[in-house]
Amino acid sequence: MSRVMKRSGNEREPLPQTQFEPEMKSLELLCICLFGLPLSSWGDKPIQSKGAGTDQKPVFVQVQRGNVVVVGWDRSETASVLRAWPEDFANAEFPQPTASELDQSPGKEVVRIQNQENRVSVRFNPQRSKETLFLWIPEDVNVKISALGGGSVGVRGTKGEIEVESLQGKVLLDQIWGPVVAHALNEDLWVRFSALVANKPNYLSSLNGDVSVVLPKDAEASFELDFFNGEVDTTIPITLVPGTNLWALDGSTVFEPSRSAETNRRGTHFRIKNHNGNIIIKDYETN
Amino acid sequence: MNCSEVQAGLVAGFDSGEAMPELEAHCRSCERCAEVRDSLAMMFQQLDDLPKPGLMSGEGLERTLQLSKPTRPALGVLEVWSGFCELLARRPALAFGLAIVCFFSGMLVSRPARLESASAQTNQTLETLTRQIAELNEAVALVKLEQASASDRLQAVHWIGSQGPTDMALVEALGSVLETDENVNVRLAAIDALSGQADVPEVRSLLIESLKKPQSPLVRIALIERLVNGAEPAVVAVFQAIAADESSHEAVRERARAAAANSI
Repeated sequence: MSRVMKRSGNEREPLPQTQFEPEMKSLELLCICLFGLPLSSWGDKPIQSKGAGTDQKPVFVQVQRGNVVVVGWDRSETASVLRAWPEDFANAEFPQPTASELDQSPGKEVVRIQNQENRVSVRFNPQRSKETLFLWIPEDVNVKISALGGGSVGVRGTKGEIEVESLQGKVLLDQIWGPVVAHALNEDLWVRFSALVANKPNYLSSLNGDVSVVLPKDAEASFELDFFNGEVDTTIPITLVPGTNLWALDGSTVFEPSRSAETNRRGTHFRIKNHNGNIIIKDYETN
Repeated sequence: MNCSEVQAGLVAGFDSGEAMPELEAHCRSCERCAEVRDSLAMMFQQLDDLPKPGLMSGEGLERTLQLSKPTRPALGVLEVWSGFCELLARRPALAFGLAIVCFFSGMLVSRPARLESASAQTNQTLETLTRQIAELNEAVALVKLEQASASDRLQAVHWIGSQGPTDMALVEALGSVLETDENVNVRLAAIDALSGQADVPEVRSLLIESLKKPQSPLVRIALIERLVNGAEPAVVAVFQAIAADESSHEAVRERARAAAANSI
């Protein structure tokens, strides 16, 4: 890191002094504004801003066994209870924990929540793999979930960045803003956005599952798809990138490369990569 | 005879110098016309008091005309310039106007040269600014690669990929991402960013070394797809080794088998 910064600083040269210095200064400011705009827009830029920023600590959830459902709420603390995994995740209600539920909170050997210096760390390791941890977190914070033990992951109603990796379970993300960087190795990945964050890319991938993205109808999004054994089902016009759907050498098609597709639309960027599954992109009417 | 006719007659009488007894009679009974008569008398008296030009004799007139005639001898360049300067000295307004004309003419004549000079300096400044901004963007991208946010790291990788990472520092940074980043998707994005340079030996070496290591099946499949085109024997050997490795994910082995068969 320091090497990089030093290198950049050493190569910087002073501006030449010219007889048109006032104009040059104006020009310099103009150029910095013009060229610096993409750079400055790298920051969070919510399309629908609400409430405070994500100055609270991110929540890191490590699921060693079982499932986890993370729900955003308008309180600053976290809370956790054990409940059953919702069968119909998209339509399920997630009522806030009751006092009696909180009294029956699992022991530290099952759920360990640590308020660390720069993060809130949650570790879930139940005795049974069917256990599901419901975790309420401040809705604006970023959350990172790692489910490497085979359980499914659900997230509902958060407005921060979501990073999820699941090896064997489903990943279901609902009523979120993103950006989302999610990977479901062997199961489906389903994401329904309630808003999009501009200038923040989303990356969704799966090896053996379907990848589904549901967007508000007026959301501005661009897609770049890469898939192999599967199809694309979408309400958004998609164009196959010419020449990439089949790759042949000497007339053979022994090695068929992944197919690529993209949209001509502008907006929040989505990169979706899939190998043995479909890619589904839908939009829905917002009221 | 009314007052208007009397006053008009007074003007004509004074001008002609003829006496008009009827007008004087009217003025004795009319105070206003008397005042006009007195005023006219004063004015004509003042006119009479003005000095009269003397008559010249024929010789004097000829001498006067001769003196007032401009002399136009045959003039040299210096004399013309001297005369011109004298003229300017005598006519400051003319000199000022001429100066303004010369100033604007000079501006018009030198404008293209000045514009060209300014344009060159502007271009040079813009090049410097562009280079500095590129360096700044590069530095920001490299810093972002170290961020905790996967989205930030993705953004940085995308930016580097969009630049066509010919700078070895950027290539090394992407190689580091490919080797060490904990997020599968960020590593996939790094492969995408490097794929445009897959023919560059250093980049190809990075991709081959990464493929040899066990890691996410999707990443390995992406690496196989990037390396299959023009795969050299060493790469084919890697494909074959992966295809034979039972610990590898079946999807990876299948792709490696196809790649090896295609490359032979």
